[in-house]
Amino acid sequence: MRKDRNRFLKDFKLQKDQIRNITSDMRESKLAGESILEQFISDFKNSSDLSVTEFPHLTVKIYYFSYLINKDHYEQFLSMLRKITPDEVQPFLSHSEFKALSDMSDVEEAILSGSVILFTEKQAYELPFQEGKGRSIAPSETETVILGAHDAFVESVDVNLSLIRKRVMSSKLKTIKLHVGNKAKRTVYLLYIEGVASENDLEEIKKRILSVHNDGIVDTNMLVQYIDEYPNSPFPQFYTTERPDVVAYKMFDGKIVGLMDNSPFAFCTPVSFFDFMESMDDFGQRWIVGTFIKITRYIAILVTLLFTALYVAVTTYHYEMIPQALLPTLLESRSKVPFPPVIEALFLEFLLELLREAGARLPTKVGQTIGIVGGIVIGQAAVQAGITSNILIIVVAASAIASFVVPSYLLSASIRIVRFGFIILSGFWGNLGIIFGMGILIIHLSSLTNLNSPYLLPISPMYPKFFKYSLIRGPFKKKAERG
Amino acid sequence: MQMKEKLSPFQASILIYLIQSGVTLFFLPRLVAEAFGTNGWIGLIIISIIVNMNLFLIWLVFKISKGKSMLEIISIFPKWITLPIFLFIAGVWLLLGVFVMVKFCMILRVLFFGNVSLIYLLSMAYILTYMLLKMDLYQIAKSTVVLFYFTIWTVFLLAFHLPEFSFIRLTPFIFKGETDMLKGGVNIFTALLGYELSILFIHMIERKQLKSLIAGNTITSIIYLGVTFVSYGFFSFEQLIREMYPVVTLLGYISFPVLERVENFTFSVFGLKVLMTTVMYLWGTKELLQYQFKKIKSTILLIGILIISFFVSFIPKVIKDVEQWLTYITYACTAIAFLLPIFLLITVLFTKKLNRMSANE
Amino acid sequence: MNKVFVSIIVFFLTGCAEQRIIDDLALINAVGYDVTDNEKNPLKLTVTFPIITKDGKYDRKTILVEGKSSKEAREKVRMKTNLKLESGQMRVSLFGQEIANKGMLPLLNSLVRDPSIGTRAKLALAEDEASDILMLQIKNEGQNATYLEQFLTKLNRESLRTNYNIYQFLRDYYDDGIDPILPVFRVEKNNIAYNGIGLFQEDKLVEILKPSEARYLFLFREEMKQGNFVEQIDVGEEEKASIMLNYELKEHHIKIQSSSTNPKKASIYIKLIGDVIEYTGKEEISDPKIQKKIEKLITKKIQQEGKELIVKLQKLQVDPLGINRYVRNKMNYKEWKALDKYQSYQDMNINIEANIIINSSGKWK
Repeated sequence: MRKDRNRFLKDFKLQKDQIRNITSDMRESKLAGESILEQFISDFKNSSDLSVTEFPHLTVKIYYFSYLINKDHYEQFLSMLRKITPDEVQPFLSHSEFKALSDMSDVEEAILSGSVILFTEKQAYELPFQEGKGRSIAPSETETVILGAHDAFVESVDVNLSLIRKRVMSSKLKTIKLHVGNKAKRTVYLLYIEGVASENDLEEIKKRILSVHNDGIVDTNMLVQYIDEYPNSPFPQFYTTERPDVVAYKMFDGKIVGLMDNSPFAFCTPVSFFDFMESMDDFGQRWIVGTFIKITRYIAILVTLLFTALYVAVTTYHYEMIPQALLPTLLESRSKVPFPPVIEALFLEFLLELLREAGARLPTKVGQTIGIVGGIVIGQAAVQAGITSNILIIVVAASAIASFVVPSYLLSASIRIVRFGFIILSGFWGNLGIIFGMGILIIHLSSLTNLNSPYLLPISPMYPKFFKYSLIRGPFKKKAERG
Repeated sequence: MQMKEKLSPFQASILIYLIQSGVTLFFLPRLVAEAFGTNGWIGLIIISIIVNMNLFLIWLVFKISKGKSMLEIISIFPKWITLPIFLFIAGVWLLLGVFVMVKFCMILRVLFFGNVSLIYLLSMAYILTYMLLKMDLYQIAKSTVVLFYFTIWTVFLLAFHLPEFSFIRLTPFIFKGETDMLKGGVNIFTALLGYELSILFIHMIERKQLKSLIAGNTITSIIYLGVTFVSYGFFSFEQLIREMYPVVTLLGYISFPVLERVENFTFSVFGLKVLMTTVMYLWGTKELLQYQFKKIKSTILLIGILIISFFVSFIPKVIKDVEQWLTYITYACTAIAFLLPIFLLITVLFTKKLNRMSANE
Repeated sequence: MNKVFVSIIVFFLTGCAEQRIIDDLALINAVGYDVTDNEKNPLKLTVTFPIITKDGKYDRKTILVEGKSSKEAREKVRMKTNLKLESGQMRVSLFGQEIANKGMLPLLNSLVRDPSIGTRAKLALAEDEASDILMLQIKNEGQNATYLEQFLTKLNRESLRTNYNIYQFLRDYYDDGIDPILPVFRVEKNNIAYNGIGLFQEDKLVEILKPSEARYLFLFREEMKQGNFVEQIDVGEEEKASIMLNYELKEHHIKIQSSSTNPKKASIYIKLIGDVIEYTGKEEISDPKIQKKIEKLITKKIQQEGKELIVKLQKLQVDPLGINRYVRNKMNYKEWKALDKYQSYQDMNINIEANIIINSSGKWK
């Protein structure tokens, strides 16, 4: 832990130094707009999609990517430019709408984000004619709710910010703009509510994001893997979501939210395991219903993790645990199967994973066929061929269904992986193996942290007063007490 | 929620409880019946009070020294004086921690996993031990709380025995039958051992030190008392004496509609409790050795301790040997539990006097 | 790094436990113990376990061997099947009458010592031979063990708390104030039928009570909470009526009058509240006066016939009601240890104080 933090700090310092060096270099060459222009042209050579418009009499060159800008605005601007004399250029450009840019990195960022860059002899100017083209707001595919808002984030970070601003109507909502990456810079916005989110956490997450030098981070879900503390853990540590309402809720809860441009996902931090077990639906329901659903989810996690493993353990080692009434069924269904239960279970679980993955990759229309084919293969044929037993199919199906109950796709995937571990362990030592696995899991989970906040927060360390907000879904009236 | 390096009172209580409750629980009712005879469960209360007094002693050391840790207090002595004492204590704690686990594994083999070699069982235990010990105490305490939740439900299984419970079976006789108060009493006392490790971490508890320690011991005592009391009403007295592991029989008597005879499962779950006992004793050993040999890196020390433990665990060959070993070790451990705080108390008072004298001069 | 280390160790640990996959096992679900005339092998062991036939049907196999001890006989059974013999699923163990007469403790000890056998396994007696019951092939009845277990569970529910498993039997055996009992089964026209209750003194079978007598026995044991009472009562002169009551045991306690008198006096108080289900008499049963009269008649009947039963038990020196437990709880430890329990029990004067109240006369007036 501590080692990690030290490394972080060191990295951070390095980064800072680098930035300082670069900016001081810039300062020297900032004699005129021309020098920037030279560098600009050399940086962007071989970019055939770069368009240029020149006004020789005004000594003005305008560069832009034609597909990134709003043509109408640009045309209007040109018509205005055509009317003015060389003397009027400077006052015209001092218009606050146009931002003077002092160094190359700003220019690069501006033009790539869809601005038009205007070079005079003295200065470079950013003309904000971005075109907000992109996917329109649509319901979320990964996090569906029945009760609650149906809009989801899109790839455009501006739209996403607007979705959040609309929900958190307060001047206290602060945003910090950061960049990650070396060559291809990506913009990350950190959002928090002042006075609710912890300043320490904010500094920490800033440091971490700034210390990421890698390029090719294309999505929030990738980014968070660069900044988490336990990269080798199968469990997700940052909560990522597509839903603006979740984000707004988390921010009121004191969490810091990160948005990345061109990614429809936002991350929240610091979060605990129980944040992954929450769905916006819980809040739409009556609190008793919501609590019941939440408890169902915990049971579902246990079922996913342990049900198949328990089947293997009982049929392989602990026959005495089977009640009298269940014995004939179990014996009959097992009698034709030539493999030991572990192999049988692993085979079926693997088949189910294949089916799931195939369903996710295939287009929706073909995807339905996969369901039917899989259902027949797994449900009927495997039993009749004597490869698996009836009971196992029920067990595997139940644990698969239970895994879908987990609201977070990330967590659900982690748990499915961990389940294989349990099945193998139970194949070796039966119940003892399950308990051993449970021991490892508990120790691992309780040692995880997210932004130095324990992963199993309200349980360990114990904060019983938070139980009703995270373990169950407590009634709303009391919710107002929370500051 | 920033990480605090101090234990909350709740964590401390849970820690104490999990160190205390070990393998003895499985035959505690029989031990009590052998030692105190009929209605021996009353005797447990007396023993629990003795433990509380000892905890009070430990707290007194803490209070008088104004929140210093044991190692700070002892640092007025030169290292060569503390070396033999610390080596002895560390040795006793290491052996106790190891043999508790060995005994559990051996019982596990006798009852459920007769054909699994002891090496495998112990390796599993030591892997988990390593995973816990490489963290600091605060982290261990975090895991402890989750393990506590994971194991505490087994206590509620006692409710399944209520239909067979009968007060008539308790008999009106108190402490009658063939009793062996002294030796048996010490034996039962050792079931509550583990609390003495609190002397190493009492200064890390945030607040309410005494209360949290006593609460921890009370949880253990209540669970022990509950199990023993239920056993007295569930079994007839003679039967209780003949039951080798009455609590295993109790667990085995439970039957759910979907599963029955879950005793091997619950027994394995108890293994995690035993694990915590081992972990904390080895932690104590590690702390003492670390103090004594500051130069050795803590990871190397830890691996060293684990390797020694691993090989030590194969010295006794059968349960009888382990029991023999455990008897002597627990006697030594009981002596440490009482003498160490007294020694520290004297040291603290002595240092204070010395300081006052030097201040007066 | 550490995770790698851990996973390597886990990998090397792959010495797994011995597999006991259920379809390779002979899961014994019932055993029977009998004596033989053979001096060399005095024990006859009958073992039955389910098998799956070639065409996937659930069937059973029964093996009978003779041996010196129960475990030695088990070794012989092992030689007679292709499946691995396991006793963890044993549900019922039957004891022949003769072997029970000699004492059950050695057999029970070997059962309770084996950690694979659950203490919930039920015990029962067989009139004559246990092997006869287990060998019997009842048409369309399947497993005899399942049949017997269901039977025992049913008896337990129907106010005859005979549900005696290993734990309960040993508990009452080791308790110095009560004697165990066991239900008796016998083969009856290609059927297995309940045929009374075996009374034990210590671990030896002393007498078998007929079902009609046994009914009263259960009335006086406290565990039974409700049941049926069917009896012929004398309503008037020369007139008999049969009555059936669905009753609930409201109160049950046993009182020992005083601690020092010898012979001692004990009273069993029971209070039943019942609904009339059947009454063949001529009077209107809904009439409170008639109800009072019938209450009195039944009370008298219970007291009288109960007394007869208890005298019989005293004569046999068996104490299935646990009266000695109450005697024990009235004495101090020294007196109790010095007491000759069975003698004092035999000399005791035991009364029955029954109180029957009719709650309703059913749904017909």
